[in-house]
Amino acid sequence: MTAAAAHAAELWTEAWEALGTTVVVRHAGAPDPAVTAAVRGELAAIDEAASRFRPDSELSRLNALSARGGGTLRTSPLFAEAVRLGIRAAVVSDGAVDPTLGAPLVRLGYDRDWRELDVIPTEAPLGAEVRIVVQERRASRWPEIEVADDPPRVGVPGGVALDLGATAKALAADRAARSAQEAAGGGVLVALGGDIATCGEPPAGGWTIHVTDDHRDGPEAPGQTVSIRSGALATSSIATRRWRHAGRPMHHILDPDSALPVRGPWRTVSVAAETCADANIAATAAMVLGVEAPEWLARHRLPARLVALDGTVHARGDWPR
Amino acid sequence: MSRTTRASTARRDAGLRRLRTLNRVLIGAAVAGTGLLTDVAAHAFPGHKRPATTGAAGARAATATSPRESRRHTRHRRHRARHHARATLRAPAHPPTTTTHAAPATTSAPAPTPAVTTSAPQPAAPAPAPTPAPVVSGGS
Repeated sequence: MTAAAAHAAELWTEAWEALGTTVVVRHAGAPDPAVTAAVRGELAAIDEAASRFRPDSELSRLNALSARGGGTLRTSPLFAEAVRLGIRAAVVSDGAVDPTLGAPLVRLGYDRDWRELDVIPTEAPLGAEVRIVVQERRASRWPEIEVADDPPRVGVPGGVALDLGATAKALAADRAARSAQEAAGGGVLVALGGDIATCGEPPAGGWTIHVTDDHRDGPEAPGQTVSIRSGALATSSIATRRWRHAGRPMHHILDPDSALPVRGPWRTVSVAAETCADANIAATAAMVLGVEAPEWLARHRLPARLVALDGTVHARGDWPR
Repeated sequence: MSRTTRASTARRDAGLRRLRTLNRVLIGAAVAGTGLLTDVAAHAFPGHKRPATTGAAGARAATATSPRESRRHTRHRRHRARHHARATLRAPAHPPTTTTHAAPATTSAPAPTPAVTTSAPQPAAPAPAPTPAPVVSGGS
């Protein structure tokens, strides 16, 4: 794990690698070990609960239980919250964001940290994915998952493998921002790759965020720089986290109906919302919904920026033009 | 018709009218009484609270066997699920605004030529603090 820090203006910024992405923490004032510890604590907790690549995670144990025919697992409150969020994502998106895509992702080769796969660079052209032909429709099974409290537990039927990748990371960003704000006493921004959550008083002029295809490309990459005073912002893209499997290009955003990578028309979608979880759900749903996405986003009154496969930018709602 | 017969008929009609009125009152009272009793019973026996659950428990429908059935079942279950959870996403309190981000300068611009002035020299304004680079939100 690498760490880098820089002190610019009156904001302190710290960055490191975790959860397979880049973590950035920014807050006013001097470096504060308590803030860093708060964020690291939240990230470690979500990794232990919801990582698909850790055999000791609660998610892996639940998937193993499902592979044996299903059942109910006593869980931590955090894992129950993560699963509940996954179900909520499916409900609000009418099934476009599906937490039960674990098995299809494994079938497509995404069975370990994606950086260990045959990675396709971001700059490689998109388009080959559109030649995939859907031969069979998949039935959604997320309505069969049950989450209960007191004590926290999750019930799954047989043959359902959960993948909470996107929503769990956004949940971690929200929780980390709250914890860091309590530790810092002032405004905090926490970014996990595309998922950015803020909490507390923003700096003068707001938190400046550059939206682009790949967070690793930096603030000089083609995109747009905006400012938010509160809430969160999330970006989903099929230009990143791509790999080659059985000679075919793959990416991590699947259409739940076909269980195959989505085919456009969007390459990158950024959405602002009150929480990072909501922004993430909306951005992922928009990628899956395709041409229906602008209307769906308008119905939820969410500011959004959609970039088509050809690079055309579409601003929706209150997103700045 | 004799006077006696007319009086008898009038008494019969009056009796029937009273009976009809009585019937209406009884039916109305029965309906109102049933509603009242239902309400009393509902409040007298509130039932037991079950642990909070998420997910459509009743959606354990048989797995669809054909694509058409699959989509139909999926739509049905989605429809059910919509009534089991809060189905809204929250918009931000403040929408994003445009901001200008200047890349860190690598070369300095030529200094402007000082203008001739007759006023007293002013103290130099403090240099603006450098703006930190934006945080990047992209696919990850």
